[in-house]
Amino acid sequence: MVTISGVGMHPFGRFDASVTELGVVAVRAAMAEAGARSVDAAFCGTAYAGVAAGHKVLGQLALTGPPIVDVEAGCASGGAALELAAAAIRAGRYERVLVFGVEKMPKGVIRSTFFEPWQEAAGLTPAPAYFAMRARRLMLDTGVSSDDLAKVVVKNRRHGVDNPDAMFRKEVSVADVLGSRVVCDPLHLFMLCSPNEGAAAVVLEREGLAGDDGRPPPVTLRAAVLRSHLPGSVLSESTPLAGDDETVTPPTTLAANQAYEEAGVGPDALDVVECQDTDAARELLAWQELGLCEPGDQPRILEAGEFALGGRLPVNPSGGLLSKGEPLGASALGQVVEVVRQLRGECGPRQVPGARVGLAHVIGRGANACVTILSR
Amino acid sequence: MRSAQRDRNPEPNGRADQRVGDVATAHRDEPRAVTRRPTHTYAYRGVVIPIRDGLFTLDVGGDPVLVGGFSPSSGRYHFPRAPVCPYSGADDVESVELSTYGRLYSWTAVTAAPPGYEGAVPYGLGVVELAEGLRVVGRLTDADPSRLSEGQPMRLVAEMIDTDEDGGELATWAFAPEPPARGV
Repeated sequence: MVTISGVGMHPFGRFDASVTELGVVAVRAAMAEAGARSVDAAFCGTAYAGVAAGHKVLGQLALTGPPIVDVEAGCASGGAALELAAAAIRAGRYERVLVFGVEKMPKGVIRSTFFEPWQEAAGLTPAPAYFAMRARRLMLDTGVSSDDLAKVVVKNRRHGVDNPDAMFRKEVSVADVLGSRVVCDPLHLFMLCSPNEGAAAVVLEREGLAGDDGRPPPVTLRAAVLRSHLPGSVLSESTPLAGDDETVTPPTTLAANQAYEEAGVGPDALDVVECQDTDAARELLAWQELGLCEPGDQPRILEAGEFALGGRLPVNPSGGLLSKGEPLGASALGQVVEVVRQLRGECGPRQVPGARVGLAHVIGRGANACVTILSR
Repeated sequence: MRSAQRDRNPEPNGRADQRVGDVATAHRDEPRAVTRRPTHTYAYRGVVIPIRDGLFTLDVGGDPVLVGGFSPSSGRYHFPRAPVCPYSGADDVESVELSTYGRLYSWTAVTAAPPGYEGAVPYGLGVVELAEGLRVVGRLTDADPSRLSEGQPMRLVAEMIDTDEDGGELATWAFAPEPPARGV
């Protein structure tokens, strides 16, 4: 078994600090919680921080010497780093591994080296347009309305008010969301997360490696599964130019099913979920892809508040990416940090009472999806 | 696969002399900004070149025909043409001309120019399902999503989005409502 013995974050937002400085804050906090002075290996998730980003952070903290590997998997970079670290510990290769993510995103619509120059020139690359086309299909296929999309934002922004690590900490109303400018119809500005900056870190250990004197109660990493897409879906995060089958199993479901099996729990056992809410429709898709609800049940769940704090299964109690913003390399581990803190009962006003089992989910370019299941 | 139109509009390294001459005639007095604005296929002048070789050909009327792939063993179509069937991995891909008509599957409009794009905004972007069952991403000639609806018939057209170093017009494929909506 693999346990998480320490977590740390640099808040997500916009800062007058280098990406290395952001990483140093998160890693120091996680190492301090774990009571660890060294690790056997380190994996650093990042998409934009450039060559040897992980080495630069650990070089500031006298933690070099062990292998340090930067991992890029789009929005799932931190999840991919976590999977590699956990697998290495399970295989007996390492006993303590540091996993962290750092990012300082460019402002505005993200430029991605994923695309060829001719695709950019033809206007075929803007990510919000693909989110919007996926949102429209969700609306056509399941009866989700613009009001429902706005309610996702209202829920997550309300949760974010109590998260000191979030970028936006002010509540919004349905009217505020629908009154914000249309970026790519049907998506309004407030329905899209902001690319930003931040860092998150997690220390993984072989169970029983160290005593618990003075350390937070360990959280068990039950599964960390990374999957890529199967071909066929034109609306997949893999953003192909064509596809012929929208019924192909999405990468989130591939990862979730494998994670549920490895963890020995199903969606019914979950007490808290952090899921990818790059845009409001993406969260509603994640609900059905993770098996949290049936397709088409989202409007009823939103209306009843079942997935809000105080409901039967709070989703994105951290405020989600809609409140925190999305620093690609750090966002997945930011979710894991939130779930760990929820399971430890450290979340104050946004605490899910008695949470014992939690799930964190990311999906993004590649396509890559990662599902992590944790328990105490 | 070469169409009559393609022969009239040869590759840069094909009949380059004739192409440069055509462009000089068509664009002698026009500022660059004008040639960069997206225009419909029926409005273009001069030589039209696919923005990337191999994606589509142009028929005699100047309309594009997408070049896809078909794998007899999997029975499935794809676009752009790939070295093996992207669904099955089969090594039996044949080049095929895809339907030039289809039905709208999803759509939006882009309101801010993405990085690397120098054309006009807003512009439409959508997914159209062709007769083969293949759903293809492309620009839409209508940038007002409220005028579009699920399943509406669409037709493939060329849109001019840039000029190359010789002044030739670089075209991408796009979809237009068929018949055109009132007031478009």
